[in-house]
Amino acid sequence: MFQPVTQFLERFGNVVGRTLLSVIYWVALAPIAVFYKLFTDALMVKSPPSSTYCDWSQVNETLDDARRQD
Amino acid sequence: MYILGLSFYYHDGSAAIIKDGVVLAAGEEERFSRRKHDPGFPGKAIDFCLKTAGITIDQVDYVVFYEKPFVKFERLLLTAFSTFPRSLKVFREAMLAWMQKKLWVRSLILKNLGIPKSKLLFADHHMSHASAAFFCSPFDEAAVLTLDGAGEWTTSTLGHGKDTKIDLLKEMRFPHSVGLLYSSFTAYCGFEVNEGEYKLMGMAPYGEPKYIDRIKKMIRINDDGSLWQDMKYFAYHWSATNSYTPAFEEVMGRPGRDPALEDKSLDPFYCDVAMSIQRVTEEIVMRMAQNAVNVTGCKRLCMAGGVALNSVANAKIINETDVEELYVHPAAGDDGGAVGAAMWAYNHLLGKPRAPALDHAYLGSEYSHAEIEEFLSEHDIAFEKYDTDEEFFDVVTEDLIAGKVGGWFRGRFEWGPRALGSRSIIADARSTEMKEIVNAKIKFREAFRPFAPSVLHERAGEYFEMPNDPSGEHWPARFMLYVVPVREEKRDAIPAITHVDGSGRLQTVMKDSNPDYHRMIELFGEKTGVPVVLNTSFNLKGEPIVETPAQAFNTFSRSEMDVLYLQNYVVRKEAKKIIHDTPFMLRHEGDRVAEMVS
Repeated sequence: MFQPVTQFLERFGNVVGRTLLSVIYWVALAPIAVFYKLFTDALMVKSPPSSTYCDWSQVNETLDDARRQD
Repeated sequence: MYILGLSFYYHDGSAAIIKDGVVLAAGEEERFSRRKHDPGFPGKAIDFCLKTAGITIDQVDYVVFYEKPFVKFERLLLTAFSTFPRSLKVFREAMLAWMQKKLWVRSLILKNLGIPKSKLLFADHHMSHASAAFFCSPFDEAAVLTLDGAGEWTTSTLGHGKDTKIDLLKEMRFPHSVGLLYSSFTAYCGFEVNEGEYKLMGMAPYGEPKYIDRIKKMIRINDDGSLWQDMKYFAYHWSATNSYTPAFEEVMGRPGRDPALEDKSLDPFYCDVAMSIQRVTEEIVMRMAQNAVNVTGCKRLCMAGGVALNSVANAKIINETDVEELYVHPAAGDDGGAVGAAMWAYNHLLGKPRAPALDHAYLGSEYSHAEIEEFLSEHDIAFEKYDTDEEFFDVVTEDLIAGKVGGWFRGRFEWGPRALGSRSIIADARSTEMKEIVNAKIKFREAFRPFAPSVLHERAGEYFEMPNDPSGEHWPARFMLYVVPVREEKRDAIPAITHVDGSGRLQTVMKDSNPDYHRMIELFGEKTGVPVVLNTSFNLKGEPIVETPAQAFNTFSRSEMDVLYLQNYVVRKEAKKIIHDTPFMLRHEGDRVAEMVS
């Protein structure tokens, strides 16, 4: 009896979720993204360096470090 | 000390348990859930690991997840910024997945396992790969290479392992990735990403490396093997559906192959593309391997990450670089991250001593004779039972000689993607028609895909041109991770496993680690003069490899296999029927592009 309602709510939730994320993308992310694109090259797309190896930078050497998700 | 390693929410969710540094059990969730490449929380695999170890979750000292979720989330956000405004769709899809599931990994694990926060640890994705490779290897000291599509930010690392420590020295970062480069060509040739890479590798020998120059217009391979991709040709970092752009197709000269064709048209152009990207991949991997030797001064190399499953490149590393000994983890992909994360915590983080090398992949579940007999009797399935192994092997080898194809179910199932003589379909490698028979009637898969040979380790050199490993150990061959030439004079003797270019992806069978399979092949050799059998995984296309006797029986019944060997029980094809209460599911095998990078 509740299955069609659940299905409808799931679909409705997905549509609302996607709409909200689109709004966030265009309104909240856009200014940061434009600034970020102008002043950084995080993906190393602009020019080919002689090596794309960089130093390993993760620090995860103690139990406290390992308990973190970042 | 017990440590449980987990990898999930990307590809092949898995669990592994180690005790004092020894891997007791490991398995992919797909084997238990029956959903191919099941990425979900590996609850059934965890239950299996704990049951095998004979403990409860309360006795586990640490649970280690194989990557750092927030670092990956950061990468997704910064990539969306960098590719604004094209990244809308992938941002939306990725954020939905992350907000619904992936951001809550910690809560999910704590809730499902009921462990305190202090017991839950997070390793780095590539450190998990590096640990799976180095800490499972027999080497006290070695260079370490990891290569895959993408971890958090990292797509490849170069490191140095010594005793209980791994020092990762360098990393290559998203979106420059040898794994994603190969996957882009997988998609271009009409196969699913994160699955069709095997098909591309199998298709390559039908072509010529004619388009290397075109590929090199889109990438730059540095002397140290590091890779730079001109991202105007690639789309996987901003598109939810495409790996490459129209500019890529312009450079290659033809549009991408229609995925709907599957194996129906083996267009020579795409075969040439497959061979070209294979050669480029080999060049990258060999330069990376040579650089690893130069930087670390070690001629022993350990490798893991999905690209380490490229068995052609693995053999070339030994033959064409200064690497003398190579160890590749049997589950080199993300599934292996479960073992790696646990080993990392035990050896590297806690500084505990190394255990003996992982010299086999038989870490899965097994079923006793009593359990098998109970299953057969309960379902009224006619069977023959052999009291001694020798009698049983005699029957098996006579069947193979008579041209029968058999499902071989014996011992603990294998860790990783390869069937290594526990859950295998076996046949006579001497038969010229056998490849077509097994591809078309039994596996229902692409006609061009080759089959692997299982050969006695001590006689491999008679049939195959083994790489120059001075130790003679050939670790990758134990896990079916070498493609080597079949000796020219032997190609007519084993046509079923000799690929179109004269190569074979061999598995060397060790008496110590799989004595039953070894003895069966030995007996086959005594009777025929050829100690080699055709070995392919015991599943149908789109189905995970079988885990239980019931699944083995159903897969046997749904295919045209002639005979089923369940331990020492033999079931003939006249007994075929479907056990309806055993789940059977076929699904598409690959991932969408959005899933590939997030």
